[in-house]
Amino acid sequence: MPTWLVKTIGNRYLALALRLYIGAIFFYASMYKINFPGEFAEMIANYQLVPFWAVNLLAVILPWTELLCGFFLIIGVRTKSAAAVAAGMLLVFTVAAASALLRGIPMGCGCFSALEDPMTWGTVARDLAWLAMALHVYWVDSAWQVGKAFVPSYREL
Amino acid sequence: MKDPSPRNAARPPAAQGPGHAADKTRFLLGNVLETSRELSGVVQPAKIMDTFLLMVMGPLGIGCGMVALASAEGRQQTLACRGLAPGEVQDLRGRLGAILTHFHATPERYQSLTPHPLLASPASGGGEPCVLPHMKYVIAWKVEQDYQGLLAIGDRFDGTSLGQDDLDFLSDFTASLVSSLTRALVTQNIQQLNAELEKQNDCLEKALAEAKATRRDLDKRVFHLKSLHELTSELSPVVNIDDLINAYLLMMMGTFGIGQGLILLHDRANKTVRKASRGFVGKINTLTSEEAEKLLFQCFDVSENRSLAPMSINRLTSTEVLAQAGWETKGAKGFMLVLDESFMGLLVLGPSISGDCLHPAEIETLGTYTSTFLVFLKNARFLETVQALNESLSQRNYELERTIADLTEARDKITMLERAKSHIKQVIQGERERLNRATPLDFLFLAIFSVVFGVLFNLASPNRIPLLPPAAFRPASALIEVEQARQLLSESGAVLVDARPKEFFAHRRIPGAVNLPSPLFEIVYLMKFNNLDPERPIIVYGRHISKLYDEEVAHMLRQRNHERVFILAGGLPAWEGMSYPLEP
Repeated sequence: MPTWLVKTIGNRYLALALRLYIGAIFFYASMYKINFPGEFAEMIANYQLVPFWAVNLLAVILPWTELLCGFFLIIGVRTKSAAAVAAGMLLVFTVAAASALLRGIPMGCGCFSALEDPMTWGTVARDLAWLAMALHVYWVDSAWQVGKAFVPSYREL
Repeated sequence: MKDPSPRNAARPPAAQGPGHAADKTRFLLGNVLETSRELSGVVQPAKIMDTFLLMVMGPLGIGCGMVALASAEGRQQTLACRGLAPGEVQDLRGRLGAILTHFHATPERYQSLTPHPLLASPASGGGEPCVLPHMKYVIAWKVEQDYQGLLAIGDRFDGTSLGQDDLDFLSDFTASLVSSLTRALVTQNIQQLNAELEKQNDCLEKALAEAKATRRDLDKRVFHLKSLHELTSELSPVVNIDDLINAYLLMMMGTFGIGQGLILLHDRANKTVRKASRGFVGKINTLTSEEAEKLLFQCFDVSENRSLAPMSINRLTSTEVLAQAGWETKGAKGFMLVLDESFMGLLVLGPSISGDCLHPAEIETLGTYTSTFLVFLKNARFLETVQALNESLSQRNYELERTIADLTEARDKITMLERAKSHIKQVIQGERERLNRATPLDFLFLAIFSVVFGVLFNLASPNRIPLLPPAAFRPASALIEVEQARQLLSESGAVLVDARPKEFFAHRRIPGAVNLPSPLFEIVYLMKFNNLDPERPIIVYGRHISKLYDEEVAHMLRQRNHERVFILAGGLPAWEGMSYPLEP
């Protein structure tokens, strides 16, 4: 792999940009789901992966997880954990979307609202890209973290 | 005493018969007696011999004669001559020792102490040496064993020789001389002995005086040593300079009976003045260091030796400088004490209580005492210096101990702070590492907060949903098998309801089914089921793992008084499994 590519990939400010981007997506995505948990529950149910008794619980809880992750990623608090959770959720979403596509379930992805176009493999690709970004944030991100501002660096000590 | 000269001497009567012989004998014996008397009062041998010679020559009418006496060793010779020319006398003096040796050389002949005639004429017999040519008669004798004597006489004036009786007379006469000489010599010896004894007595008296003087000196020295010992005993336990000068001053005043005394010491290095005074009138207690130094230099000007040699005492020739300083110094003696160039002092002693000035010997003794005092003063000063050094050393030791304690405390504090720093660094480093690490706690935190916020918000939200599906808590609807359902549909005119969302309905459905999703139930029911007979059976299908659409719709239909509502057992898959037609 070329050095410039390695340097670019390893650039902490690229990770910062991706972190803000992923955080904003999660933050934004959670807004609708939190306000309309019933519709989100329908979207979850459409995937036909979750037992019926857990759909509502998931519909109530999952948006808040997205909100906290997005919030933490934006402000830079516990970014590693937030990125890990975000990557995990994106992985689940990607798998669920791929599964739905493979099973021929006619549905939108339900990522941002219930009124979306039917899901395609482009949706899966997008989720994969976001997953990669989340993983990049997990591995590389170190800049502009609010959490570190309250802890002096080793050099300062 | 009669004049014994031969010319005036009584002549013996002429020999003219036996009576005449008796007269002559009486005459001679009388002369012997007279001579003995004459000689008995004389104690000088030379005078005895001279007198004897006159007394012999007179009665016998002899013209010349000599008497000689010499000690056996020949050291003392006495010669008496009469009727001899000076040259003859000189000749005899020169030969006297040889003549006496000659006549006393034969022991058996001359050992006898008795005087005896030796010869009538020297030229006449025996070859014996001649005394003088005209001296024919010689008589030798000895006085005691130490003196040899010789009498030599010549013939008579008239030229006649001496007869045997004259010689006997001469022998007797000589015996008287020997007796007188013996007495005189004894007397002389006694006088010599007396003189020697007096001399010895003088020596002894002188020695006694010297011994007394020596004893006095020794007594004095003993007294001095005793006083010195007392002074030493008195001063040795005193280590404080102020106490020392007080003790010394009191002791000197007591020893010499002095009513006034003053000791002033000035330490130029420390600019301190120490003083002790008894009975002294003047400005003493308020004396400053500068005034003391000025006074001491004035005293130095009038001191005897004008020396600043260490441990020296200089007597002041005048005490006017002390009087000028305002001190009463009448009859006082002053001494300048020099311990070293930086420590000098003044000792002033007034007259004794009796009014006498100090005796020179007392002053000398005082000097000795003061020298001893200076030694003690020097020791006390050394001790004071040592004590000061010890105190300084103790103080420095204390400060050093405190410094060490502080350093130890600081070191402990530093060690503790370093440990704390290390601990804090570890904590912070751990915290930073934790910030860079995803921990299970974070996941748990996210989960808990998500659940809490989600549940709470859902409870408060107007769009809230039940956390668990209500269908799960309702009794299950009546099921109808696929075959029965087909029969019911064909025979009883049952209505087939697809309860799934419209996307699923549009994707695949049982032919003849009416789409009635629960979210659109009210609208669709009004449009399609409002006029439906409540007795007409309704068969509902549509469910999967995540949603029981059929149960929800069946429940809603029952709430609209439709009593014959059935749920297709197995749903669409069971229908499909029976290979019944689906659309599209």
